[in-house]
Amino acid sequence: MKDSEILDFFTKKDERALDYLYKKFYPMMTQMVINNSGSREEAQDVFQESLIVFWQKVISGKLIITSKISTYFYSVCQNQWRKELDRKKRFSREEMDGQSFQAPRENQNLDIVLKSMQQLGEPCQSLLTFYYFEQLSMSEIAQRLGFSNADTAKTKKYKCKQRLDTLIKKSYNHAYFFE
Amino acid sequence: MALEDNNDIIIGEYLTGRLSDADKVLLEARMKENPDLNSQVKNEEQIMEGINEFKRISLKAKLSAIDIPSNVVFDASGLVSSGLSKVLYVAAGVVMIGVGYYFINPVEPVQEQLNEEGFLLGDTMAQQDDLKDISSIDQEVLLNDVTTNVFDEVTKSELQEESPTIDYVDSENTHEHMGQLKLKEEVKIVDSASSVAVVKSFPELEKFEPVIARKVAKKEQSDDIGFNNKATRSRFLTEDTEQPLSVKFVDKKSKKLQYTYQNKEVVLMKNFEKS
Repeated sequence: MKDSEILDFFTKKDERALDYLYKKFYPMMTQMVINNSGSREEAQDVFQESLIVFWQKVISGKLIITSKISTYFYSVCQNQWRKELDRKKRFSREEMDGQSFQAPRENQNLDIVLKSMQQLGEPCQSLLTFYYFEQLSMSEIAQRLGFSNADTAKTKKYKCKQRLDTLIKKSYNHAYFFE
Repeated sequence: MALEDNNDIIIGEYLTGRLSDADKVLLEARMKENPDLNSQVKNEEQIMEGINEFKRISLKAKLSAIDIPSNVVFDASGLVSSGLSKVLYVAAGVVMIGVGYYFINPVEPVQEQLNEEGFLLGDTMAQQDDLKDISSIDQEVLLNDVTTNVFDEVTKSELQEESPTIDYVDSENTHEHMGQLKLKEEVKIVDSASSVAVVKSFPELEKFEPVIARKVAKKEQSDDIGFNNKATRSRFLTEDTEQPLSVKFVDKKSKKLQYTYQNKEVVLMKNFEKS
């Protein structure tokens, strides 16, 4: 498959492009991490994270690739692995200093949202991820989820967001979350 | 929709970059003036990050489910080899060994020339030894096959009908002419009843070279058996009856059974399977 064909899939925000790139670049990208003192599991994690970052950048429409996809994607993987190495260094330094690791408040809030999203179920999960992650327009959301029009999608999105807020507030102390 | 609800939509559009530049400037100005609005935007931002993280986790789970060959092996050069490529490596190695063996031991071309003993020069020693060591039964078998091949038309048309004695005469196959590959063979047909030898020449026999027949003939000549003596002719005539006898195998491939035609009767001579 040519780069232009892959980018066509990205433009259409078709997730099959992700599957294709995953199979195509898996050996090369994971090898890069392994060659730089990473484990197989770390390599896979970094590769997946890089692919998702790449996916988000491309589908947002803000990214213009002037080089080959493989070249660009390789640099994304390298950056992700550098970040991971920095994080590991910081973590080990904190351990040596005797500081007990405590998840920041932001991480705790993140867990709350994740659990609430889990409870939300479909089609609200897809609708909200289409809106926030893929940043699809209301017309596109309506088309993908089979709604009659963009207005219906807008109303549904509003209701889903309200439900999510309710779940978050129910599960945790409102004051704590919105501190 | 209430003003607060309207704020949610505007904040959502602001966080996803869909708000126009003018509305964006206006909202940011309001955020500076209104701390509650500012914290609301921050909370919404955390929720959005949570939603995005949820999607990332879902995608990762989906990607992890993609089947990547488990036998992918990383080597020092950065190349990846799988089980299939290992098989290809082995196959390539076998081919290379074969090619190398070919160059070390090239196959000599077969020389289709006769040596002094009438064997093909291209024959290997093993083949010549085989011919020397063949037993009497094997000689019979071989000669029977050869005569069947060489005199195919003769045996079919004349041997069976007239039951003659076939004598093999190679009139020009003398030492003077040994070097010549041009063979003019004559088949001497002897009528058993009249015992008058009628020499017939068969021009069509010149079209092919009965190489194996000549080998056997020369072999017998060297043993002073001669093709014209009784021992040789016993392939075609029995000593007792002087009646024509044809030997043939019912099952030529396995050569398990040998039959003879003797006194107008078919007799089972030998069961080679049992022996």
